[in-house]
Amino acid sequence: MTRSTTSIIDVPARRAVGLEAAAFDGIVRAHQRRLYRLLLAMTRNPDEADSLTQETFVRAFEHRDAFRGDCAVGTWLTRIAINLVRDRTRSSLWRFWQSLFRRDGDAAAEAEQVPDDAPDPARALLAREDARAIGEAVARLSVRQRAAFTLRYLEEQSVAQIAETLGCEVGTVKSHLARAVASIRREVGHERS
Amino acid sequence: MNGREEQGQPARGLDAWAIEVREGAARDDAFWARQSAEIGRHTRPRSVPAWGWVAALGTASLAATALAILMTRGPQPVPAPAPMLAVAAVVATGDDQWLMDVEKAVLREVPLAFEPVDFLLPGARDPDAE
Repeated sequence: MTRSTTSIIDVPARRAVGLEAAAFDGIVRAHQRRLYRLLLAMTRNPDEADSLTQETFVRAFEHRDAFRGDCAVGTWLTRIAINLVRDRTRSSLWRFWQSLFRRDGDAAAEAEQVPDDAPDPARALLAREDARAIGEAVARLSVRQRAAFTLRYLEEQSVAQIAETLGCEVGTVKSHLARAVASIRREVGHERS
Repeated sequence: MNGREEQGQPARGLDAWAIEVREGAARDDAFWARQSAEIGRHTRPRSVPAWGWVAALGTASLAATALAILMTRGPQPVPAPAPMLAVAAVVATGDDQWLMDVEKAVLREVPLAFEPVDFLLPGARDPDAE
């Protein structure tokens, strides 16, 4: 797995104010993997994640003059990506197609996920069942809960970082996380019972 | 404290989920290159398309044709000088005339005011002539 360790994520935005076109290619390369991963976790749709990743960068470029430098470039991009997911989720048409394809896609993915040469097939299958159930439960969370959960447990960000990204208080993030985990635990428990 | 522990969620399911997402998000270099190129299509300065060159050539042709038509029409009438130039010419002419008058006055043997006397009494100007 490739994880972005480029320090540009942590560079205060004021040092990148302007975001010239020449520098933008470097920003894309530094952040595209992380944003794609985040968007894939939030949408569970590779094509959607790819499209939203591209849209995030294009929108960031178009609004680069509005970049005030009060946060890191990575935080700013993540904020744009989450807003795009929220906008997309609000579309009823998108919800319809998403629900339609998710059922077929999950069945196919599930069939591919059990390797023949797994060292402990039963344990691997159980872990994958958990992962699938959690993924489905995450997809049913509200966008803000989903974003908080994904940033915390996938990107391993601190609560303070998440609060900066979502533009809310630390207490609000903790509340989102608590509700998200409770909801996921409830849904996963229902699947097992 | 670990977030998984503080929320009381079994680590196994969350770890499996995170690993699955990370593995699912892994793509080859061609994918990232293609994605960068797609983004770059919107963010990099665009080169002039083919139709742009055609339009530029058409404009240049029209300009050349118009210039050729203008040149074959022959010499155009000289426009009247601007008012300021005319005033300047008048002033210059007046100065020249004044200088010529001064020069004539200096060279004149009899002041202009005594010319009638000189005409009536020719001997008065040159007594030796008599």
